[in-house]
Amino acid sequence: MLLPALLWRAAWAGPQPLADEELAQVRGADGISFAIRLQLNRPGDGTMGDSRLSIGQVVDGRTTYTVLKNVGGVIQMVGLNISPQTAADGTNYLALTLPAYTRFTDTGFESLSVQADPRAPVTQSLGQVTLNGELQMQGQLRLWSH
Amino acid sequence: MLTRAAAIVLFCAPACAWALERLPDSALAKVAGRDGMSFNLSNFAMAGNAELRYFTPGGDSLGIGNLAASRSDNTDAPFADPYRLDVVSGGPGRADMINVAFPQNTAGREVWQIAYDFGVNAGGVDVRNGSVILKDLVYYGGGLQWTTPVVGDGLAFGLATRLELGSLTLAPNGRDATNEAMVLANVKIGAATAEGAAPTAPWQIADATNQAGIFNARTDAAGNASLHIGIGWPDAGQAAPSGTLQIGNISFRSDAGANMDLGSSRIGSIQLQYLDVKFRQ
Repeated sequence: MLLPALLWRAAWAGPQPLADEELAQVRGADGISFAIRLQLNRPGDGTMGDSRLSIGQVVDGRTTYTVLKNVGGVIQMVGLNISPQTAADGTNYLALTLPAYTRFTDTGFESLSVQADPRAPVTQSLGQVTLNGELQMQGQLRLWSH
Repeated sequence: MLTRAAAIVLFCAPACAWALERLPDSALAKVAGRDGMSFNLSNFAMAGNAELRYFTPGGDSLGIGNLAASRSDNTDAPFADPYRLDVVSGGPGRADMINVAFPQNTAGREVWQIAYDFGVNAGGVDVRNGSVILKDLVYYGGGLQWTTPVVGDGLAFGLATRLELGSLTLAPNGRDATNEAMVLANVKIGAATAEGAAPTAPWQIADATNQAGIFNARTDAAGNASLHIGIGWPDAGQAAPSGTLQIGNISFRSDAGANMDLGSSRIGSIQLQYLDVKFRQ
């Protein structure tokens, strides 16, 4: 029973401290790129479930729920990149390169309603919102602390 | 098997502990927390045929699409004047607030260009209503606040803005046919000035501390639920801030006849004392 533990400890000597000047020589690569396909609450066979995003709020002692039904859709995104950068003035920032190409298919929600019971059938819908089509973007969103 | 796994973990535990070291007081004193986040766009532009469409429960719809937008940067000092997000105190007895302050943009170099098409599909007729073109839209300061309301649930908000817009063009035949258009040129919105001059400070339309905006869902005594957006009365002893809206020129262009120039329009002082909008079916 001792043997595996000892072997493990021998093989895993752990990280060694690095002198500051050595550490300063370490260069990272230029970030992480993402390609995303998100398919949310759309099974793809034409059916639609009953997924609900509800927010309950108590005003004047009465609770009312805002219900968004079947929030989802398909989002395909290419060219999203996250990388840490240092500006000329010394600011360390996170650069989020915006996706070069995004395609939305039936992205949105099926109904928006306000009701006393969040699980009751939606009978008083305020409407539906969808987003369809393509977007090309360029540029960065830069984030840093202050 | 379980016993063996537990034993391995036990033997490993001392081996894993080397990573933590005591920090001397002098080193600890150099640790500085940061209390907020700055952000800004760089070289931003977007375009595409994506369309956002709102459908009424009856099936009629209103769509906005073909959005093209871009923003120029203050390339001399790209990190000096960002959007700033902080959590700040809401004052005695109140919840903290999320505060987003927009760039002061004093030199006016962060300039937006926006164009989009819109249309209505109702009663089986799909109508393309044309394009809206915002040219040279510049925000100077202002910002947003979010917090919880003093009474009841919901989202309380504050909103301040000062903007200048080179022109707003409504082109019924599309963005490539602006010779038929309504044009509002040189539009300025901001805090009212005593002498009626162009605004130099943001107009505080809603203030999370003194005159909060409110967004929530509520049910009246009769049981009718509604979605609610509003701006409360100013707190006792406070006046609603005054804003101004100045339009340099209003004109209608036409291929068919002479252009019509309606001249300028100016509202010297606007006070929003109270707003209450409810949405229900």
